Amino acid sequence: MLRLGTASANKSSASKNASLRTLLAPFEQLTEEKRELLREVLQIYVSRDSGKHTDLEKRRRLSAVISDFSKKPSVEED
Amino acid sequence: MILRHLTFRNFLVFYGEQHLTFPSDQSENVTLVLANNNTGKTSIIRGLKFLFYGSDALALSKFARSPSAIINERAANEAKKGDDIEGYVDLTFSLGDDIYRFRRSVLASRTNEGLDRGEEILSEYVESESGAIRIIKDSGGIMENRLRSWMPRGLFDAFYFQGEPLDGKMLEGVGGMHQVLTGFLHIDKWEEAADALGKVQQDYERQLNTIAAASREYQGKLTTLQTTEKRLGETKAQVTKLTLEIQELEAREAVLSEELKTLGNTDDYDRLVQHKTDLRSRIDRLEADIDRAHERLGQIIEASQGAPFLLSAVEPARRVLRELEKNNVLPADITEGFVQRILKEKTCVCGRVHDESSRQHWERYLKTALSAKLSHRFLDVLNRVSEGSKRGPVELAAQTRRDLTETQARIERCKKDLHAARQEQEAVDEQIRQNPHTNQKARIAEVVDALRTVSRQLSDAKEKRGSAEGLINNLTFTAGKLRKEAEMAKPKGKAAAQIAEVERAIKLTGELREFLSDYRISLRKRFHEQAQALISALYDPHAVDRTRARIDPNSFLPQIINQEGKPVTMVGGGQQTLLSLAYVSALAQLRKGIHETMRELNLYLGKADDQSFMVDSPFAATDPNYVRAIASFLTGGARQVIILMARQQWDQAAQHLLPKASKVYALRLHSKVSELKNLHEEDFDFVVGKKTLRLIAPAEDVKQRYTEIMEIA
Repeated sequence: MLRLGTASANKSSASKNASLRTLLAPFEQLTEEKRELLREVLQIYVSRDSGKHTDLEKRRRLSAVISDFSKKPSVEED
Repeated sequence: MILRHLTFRNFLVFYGEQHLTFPSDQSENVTLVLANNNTGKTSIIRGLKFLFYGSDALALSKFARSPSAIINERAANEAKKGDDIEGYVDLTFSLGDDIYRFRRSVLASRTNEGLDRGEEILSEYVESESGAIRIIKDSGGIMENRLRSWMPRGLFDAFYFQGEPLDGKMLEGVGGMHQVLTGFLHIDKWEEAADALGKVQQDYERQLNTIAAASREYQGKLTTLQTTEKRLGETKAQVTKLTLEIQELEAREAVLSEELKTLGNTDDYDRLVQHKTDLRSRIDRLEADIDRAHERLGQIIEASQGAPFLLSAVEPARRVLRELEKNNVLPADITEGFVQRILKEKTCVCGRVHDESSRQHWERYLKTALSAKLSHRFLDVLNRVSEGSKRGPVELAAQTRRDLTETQARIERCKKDLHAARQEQEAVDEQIRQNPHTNQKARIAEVVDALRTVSRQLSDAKEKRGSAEGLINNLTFTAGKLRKEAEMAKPKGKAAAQIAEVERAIKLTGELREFLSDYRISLRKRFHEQAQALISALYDPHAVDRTRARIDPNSFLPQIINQEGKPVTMVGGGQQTLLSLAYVSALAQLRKGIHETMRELNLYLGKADDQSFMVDSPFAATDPNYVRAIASFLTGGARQVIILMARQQWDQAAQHLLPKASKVYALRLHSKVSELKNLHEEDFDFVVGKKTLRLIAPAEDVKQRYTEIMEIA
């Protein structure tokens, strides 16, 4: 009998198709700093949990994230 | 999504509780279900559809009327008045490392008229750490939404084929795959993020204005710069919008062109239309030939200079001339009066007494040759005759006669051919009228109209984009200049640090916003590249005729191309099936790949694991080579495949499938005894290895037929 919740066997082989990485190519062209910022932005708006927050909450989180990043010394500008 | 257990209880043809367990290990990926037609193959797929989307999704009107219609007839009839009866589908499946169990049931009561409408209930079985199972009923559609996000409605028919044979319609159904995949990535949310970034950018601009208020000169420069940048941003957004619109229009144009090609691609119809066109050209040619021949007749007559008609007069004229010469009366004035005078004489110019014949001859001569209308040409002929060139008109007359005869014969031949061609044209017209494809003429006209509109819209959009791009160049130049001026006027000291921070925030939000816009535009191209790579890897090695699979970059529909890269129009059943399987398999891999790739960005978009496939009768209309190719594809490529096999396909595919199958089920029909009399029971025999299974049996209860699921191996 299978135990619900976690697979006891047959874990996904998670066979990563290298060519699919080209979908992410534009992300990889960003600087690490901007990629990190973008990740934060997408976490707020695109990830599965984004639906749990109101528009105002998301805006506030976004402003906070941008504000934090703009205070950091920029590697790019240095 | 990998299927583990499927249980039916009183669902459609399945009476009581019936189970299927699917092996799911990578090395044991094939399950066979053997069944004759109308014994429950499709009910298995309907069972899954019912579980994921409810009774409304089962495309049968009676289901739409009442959920209780899914309950097995025999079970319903056995219930007594006032009894409650339940029918359900219970599915355990895994997604990645997680295992889920859902049950959708219909609970109905027996009344005098049969079952009442019944109530549909969706529940999830959740196991606690102690091992206790809790059954949680769906509330507010949360479970429904989860199920639909894991198995999008638009993909169900692609992953769980039903009906035979697989054909283009299935592909049309998933033709909007770009939209489905865009949905996987939640592109609408990316747009929301881009909009929010725009708003945050405006907040920062306002903040910058407040700081800048301390310096009038800087504020002035900044205001001008911001106005220019705002316009620049708007124009860039317009270009993005137009580019996306152009992509959509190009996709629409490609789909319409594809449809037009399909509509105009019916071989019979094409052949008839081509034949009709050829006949029309032939008729035109024959009519022109006849016109030309008539014209030629006139030319021949004109060129004859009247010789054949005049020649009949030549001989008597020669005699007259000879006599005149003999009597030394030449040169005589050859006039009407001269002939009248001869006729008044008793004797003719030749010395003989006029008789009836000579008078008639002279009178005829008077009428035809020497009348007042005597033509110069006749005189010429007579002159030529008199000069001894008698062969000229004779030859001319003979040639004229030959030309006339030949031309007349040509006209007759043309007329005959024309008649035949016209009759053939009528026959072809009739065949075209009776050809079912003719009914698509209206659709063809619609598609052509739609194509024209799309083409016009495309050209408008491209023109607008061109103008906007020109404006962007100008605005970028102006903004650069203004930025330098603002930089010069920037305040120093503490305010400068504040300004730098806010400017950096503005720059960051602007860049991210632009990145998201550009990424949306390039996404289609990237989808296409991936889909093409995947389908090539899946189809090309299996195609027995060295054809290749191609995905149209605009419509995203798959097609088969030959070695020269040209589309193959005559696609056989085997090729079509293989292409369909490769296409959906490629899409499933792409979907999974996108989710995994996004997870690398720490973006958890939802669950999309290896995909199970259920294929109903994939070997219809397929030659032995493709049976082998499809069997090899199915058993080798997919993570989990469940093949539903009809009797008529089993014999040719058994040898390829049995060695690969980890589990074999059979659906045995328990039939009413009265039905058995009309059936050939041996038609229900399946040979599995050394055993012969007869998948029909007399029902113990003679009232209703039902199906039993048996595990064979």
